[in-house]
Amino acid sequence: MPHDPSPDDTLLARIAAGEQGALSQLIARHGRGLRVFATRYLGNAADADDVVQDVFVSVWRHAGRFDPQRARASTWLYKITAHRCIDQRRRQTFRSVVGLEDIEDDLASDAPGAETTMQARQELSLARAGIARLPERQRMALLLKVVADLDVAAIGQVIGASTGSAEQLLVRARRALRDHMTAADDGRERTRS
Amino acid sequence: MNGDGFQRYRLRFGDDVASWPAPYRQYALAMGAREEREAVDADQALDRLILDAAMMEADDGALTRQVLGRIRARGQSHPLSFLQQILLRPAALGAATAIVAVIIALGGYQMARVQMAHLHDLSAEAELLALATGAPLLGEARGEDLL
Repeated sequence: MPHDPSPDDTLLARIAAGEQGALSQLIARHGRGLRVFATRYLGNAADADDVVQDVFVSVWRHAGRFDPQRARASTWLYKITAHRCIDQRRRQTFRSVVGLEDIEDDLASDAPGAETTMQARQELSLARAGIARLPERQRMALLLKVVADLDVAAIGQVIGASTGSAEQLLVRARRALRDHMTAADDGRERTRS
Repeated sequence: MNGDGFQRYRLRFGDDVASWPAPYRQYALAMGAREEREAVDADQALDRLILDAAMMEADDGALTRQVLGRIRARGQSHPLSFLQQILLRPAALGAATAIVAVIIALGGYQMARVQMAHLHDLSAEAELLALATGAPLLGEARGEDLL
């Protein structure tokens, strides 16, 4: 049974017809999420900006290829972004190997408004460090779950894995993050005492 | 039913909770559901923390402007053919000219080598013929004999 097109499906159809205003609306809907995902995956805001801009240029050119019967628009967008991020990661590694770049976080404006107390700030900072230390596939799966709000099947589609493997990646990522935060807490306790 | 009780009944009735007799079965299922709920709640709390940690302030308007700028920039260069793009860029034109010059020079060198080798073969052959017919082997006349 054909389903009603989602707002994203409609926007992509309008983009395919060459309507630039529809692209602006799609950027307004998904730009931030894609940028957060790419930035936290790559650990570099400038590279993430480059990737996300490139993704929307690709969407502008190839929106006609999107098939709403095969995947949700958000899954399609994150899939393109994930692939570009993997390519960018390879370039980062190459630049790092040949000594052109140091792959360290240089994330701008990290502080959301909710960080009001010292404890909350420390907890968020620990979580960021934990995310950055996760193995790449675990980090990608976790960000797709948390930032993109994709279900496990869609995460599997994006990263090219079965649903079971995607689930396993999420379980391991959460466990590793909890271990990281517990270890950091223990370290702080020892320092105090 | 607590954790110890659950283990005791598991030893008594087996691993498959669904086959336990009532009322133990209901208690065990309720306990499993509660643990599952707690695990889900813990995951949700962690996910919320990760989301808060991942979020950044961003200028969405700037992203739109940058994307549209890229599209315009690529749109201007798109109709040009590859050859036109090369001809319009001095650096690319210089590089292309240098590559063509190197290819021509290498081609010429290779052709000259082949021709010289051919002449050398002819020279050796003529020398042997001259010796066979009893002609004197004169270095200065060699070229004339050959040609």
